[in-house]
Amino acid sequence: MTAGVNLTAMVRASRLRTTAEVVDAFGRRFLRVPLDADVRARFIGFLNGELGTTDVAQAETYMEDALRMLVHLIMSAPEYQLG
Amino acid sequence: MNECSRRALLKAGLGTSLAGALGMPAFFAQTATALTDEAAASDRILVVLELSGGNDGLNTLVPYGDDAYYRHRPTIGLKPDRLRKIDDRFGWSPGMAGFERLYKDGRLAVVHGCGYDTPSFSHFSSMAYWHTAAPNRGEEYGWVGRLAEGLRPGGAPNFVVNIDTTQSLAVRSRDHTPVVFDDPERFSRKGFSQELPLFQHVAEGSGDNPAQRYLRDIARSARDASALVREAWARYRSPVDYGIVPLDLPKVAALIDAGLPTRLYYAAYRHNAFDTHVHQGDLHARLSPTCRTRWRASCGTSSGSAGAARSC
Repeated sequence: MTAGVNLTAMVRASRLRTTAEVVDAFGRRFLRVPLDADVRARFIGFLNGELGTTDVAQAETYMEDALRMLVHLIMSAPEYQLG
Repeated sequence: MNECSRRALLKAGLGTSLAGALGMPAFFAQTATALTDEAAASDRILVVLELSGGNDGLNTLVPYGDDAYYRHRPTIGLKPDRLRKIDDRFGWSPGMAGFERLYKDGRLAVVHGCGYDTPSFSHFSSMAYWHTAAPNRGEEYGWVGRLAEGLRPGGAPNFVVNIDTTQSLAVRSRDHTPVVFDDPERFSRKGFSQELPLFQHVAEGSGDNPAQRYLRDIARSARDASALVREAWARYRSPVDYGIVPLDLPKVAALIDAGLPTRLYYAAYRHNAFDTHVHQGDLHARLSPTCRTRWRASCGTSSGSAGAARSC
């Protein structure tokens, strides 16, 4: 059973178009400080790999699991404890 | 634990001013002024096993030669003819054959009757006082943590290890970040396989403020230490039988065997096992032998380590 959170809907509602925009938006939402540049790049690369594209619109039907893993990674960052 | 190490321990853990301020016995004040350099230069290891819940020290090493003991314990006092006497005043409780042997072999020292004036009857306050060795002070750091600061000022990676489900106040330190784990095999970040490579990098970055740098240091320490602990545990083999409930002493032995730079290990009986208010006599009699069995096993395998158990 998964929590009643729809990350795909959040992406859609925020009109995010690329994986970089998703990482930045989630970073702003869940962290008090900006992601380190290298970590940000790794997260974008992770999302690109999981979705097979940088275009969010193309992955809209199957991106929920990848988005959940991205949020898990963000919450695993030390900076998340500053929230 | 030899006398010099104990003195250094007491000095670093209690502090000169603290010992005096608390009105502690002269023994503490005197030992507090003893040398720390000797211990700092030594590679000796201290293993602390807390008999969590508050072991009944008077029914562990019984002062049978003191009438006050029987006056105040008409029911649960242990009769002299049941004890394993070590002199004309003290005797081990009947089940502690292992401790008796260690004592007779000169491998066990006891600091009996530790305490402070007007003790708190709150479990929580009492635990905090014992963990900080600072009654009624609101001390922020634990006695083991302060000892680490005395032995290795400024901190050092993996200098203090605390094996438990949560970190004990006893090991909390200003300079040192204790390695805290429960199950070595599960001492790692959990996630889907795709995520695991990224966990190696989440603590990267220099950090823009002290809080970030602190958190990243903690994350790096946990990442690096967890790898060492898992590897040490996977490689450790011992012919020693630690019994049905081995506590955490085989884990300590594994890390020592692997050559970790840890000098202070802290483990505890789980679930406040020694909180023996109900059916005190029988329960305490069962717990004490389990303690000595594991401790003897650990002493037999971890050469170079020294043990200290509160009131035991």
